[in-house]
Amino acid sequence: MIEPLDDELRRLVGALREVDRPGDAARASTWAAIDARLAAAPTPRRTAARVSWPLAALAAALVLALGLAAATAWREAERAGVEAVDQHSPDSTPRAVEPRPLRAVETSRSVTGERPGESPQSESPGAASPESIQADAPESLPHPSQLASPESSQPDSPESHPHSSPTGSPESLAHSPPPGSPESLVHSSPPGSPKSRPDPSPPASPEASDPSGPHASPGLEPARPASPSRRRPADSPSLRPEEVASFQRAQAALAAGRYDDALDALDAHGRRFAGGLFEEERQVSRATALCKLGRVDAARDARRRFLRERPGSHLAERMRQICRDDE
Amino acid sequence: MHHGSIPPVLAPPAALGDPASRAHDGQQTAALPAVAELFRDHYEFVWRLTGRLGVPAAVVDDAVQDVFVVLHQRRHEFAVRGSVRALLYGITRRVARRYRERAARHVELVDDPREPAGPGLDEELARRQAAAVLRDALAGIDEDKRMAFVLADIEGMPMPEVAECLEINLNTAYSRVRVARQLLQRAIARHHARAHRRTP
Repeated sequence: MIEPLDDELRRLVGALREVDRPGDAARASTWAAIDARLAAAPTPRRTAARVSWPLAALAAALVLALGLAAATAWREAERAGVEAVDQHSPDSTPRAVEPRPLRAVETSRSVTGERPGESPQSESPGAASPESIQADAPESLPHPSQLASPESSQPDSPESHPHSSPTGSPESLAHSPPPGSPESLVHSSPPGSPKSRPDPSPPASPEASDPSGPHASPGLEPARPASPSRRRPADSPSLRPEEVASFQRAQAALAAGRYDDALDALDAHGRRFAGGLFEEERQVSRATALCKLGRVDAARDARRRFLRERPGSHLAERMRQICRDDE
Repeated sequence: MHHGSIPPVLAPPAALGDPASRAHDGQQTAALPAVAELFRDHYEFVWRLTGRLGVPAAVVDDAVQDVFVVLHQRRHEFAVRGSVRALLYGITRRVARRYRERAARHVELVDDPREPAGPGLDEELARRQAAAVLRDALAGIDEDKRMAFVLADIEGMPMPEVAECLEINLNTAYSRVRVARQLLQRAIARHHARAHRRTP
């Protein structure tokens, strides 16, 4: 690989090798010095390492636990969002979710707009304690803030519906608080009734107290910018909760014997999650549904195509059994 | 892990809480011989390197001590992925840099050995002169190329091990050795020319 040294250089290198050698005395004295130093300081680093390992493990465990908790919370939120999607048609939900916070603001404003005329006392709590309003402003609007949190993509709907109205229609939130009844707002906000009372007052502020107004709207603002990200909760290709829910819906229809519904759901799933995680299962279920519906030819086509395209699939054997009796 | 390619000289400290790397580290560290053994086998190697890395002759022995003490104290952090000499080289290089900086002196390679030449030994004298020529020439080239030449041509290390020591890839190691040789040949030629002019 590398050429041999030329004669001159080889001679010099040989000379240097001969000359540059530590003497035995130097070797002995160096070792003696090393030995003494090692004896004097018996590996201080090691004890440090021993102490730090448990600490490090503890820290790692803590971080892991925090991450796990966050992930679990996120999952819960996601699942809640998916269930909400299931209640309505998948397309309409994102649109229905967005305007809700705005409408809530409008209604609360309208409520308060009438309230000052109706009962001037309402100004007194707002004017009496502006601090309480400021303090409450973020807390008194739990739904918008929940909406605003990017993790809880669509979880607002299942939570806000049960609270706000038993009917569960999105409009009910907007209509439910009739002008004179602050109770409806109380219902829509979490238990703390003293906190819910300032709710109407911040909108009263535009006339009464300025500080609370600006405080109220910033609390709501984030809801709108956050909404676009809400449409696609998780782009992670691994496991999208809505994908799981969509497929489960189809499977439920299949199991219930509603083969037409199952077929529709499976086709919709295939369109929405093309090449998704359940593609093979979807095809098997679809062939099953076709077979049950008596569309034997279509079922056989589906089976043939599946076995041709995915001969090594773990579902190939199951697919082979579909519509077999008819053959 | 790196056995296929050229491994780094020093593995980074095991990642916190990473059992795989910790297990690997522990296993490899256990394979590292005791300091006494390493000293017995590699003392001269470290001594020569220390000098060639520009540590002043007066403190070469101190630097060598430091290398082995560091090796012992931090043996749990070191994992030998390849050759032990590469590990030693890495430590020696760091220690030598510290000594050079402390000396705050122009790079000066090991001076003439302590024992004076025996009387009447012409051959020995010629050898010392030849060694001095090469030493001066080495002092004139930068450390990267110098150490490539030292490891490959003076220490006689296989090229993959040279690359491992210098933490460079094999082709770079080859090219450094080649360039170093050319530079040294030129420096030696200049030396001869000067000597010729001085003694016509």
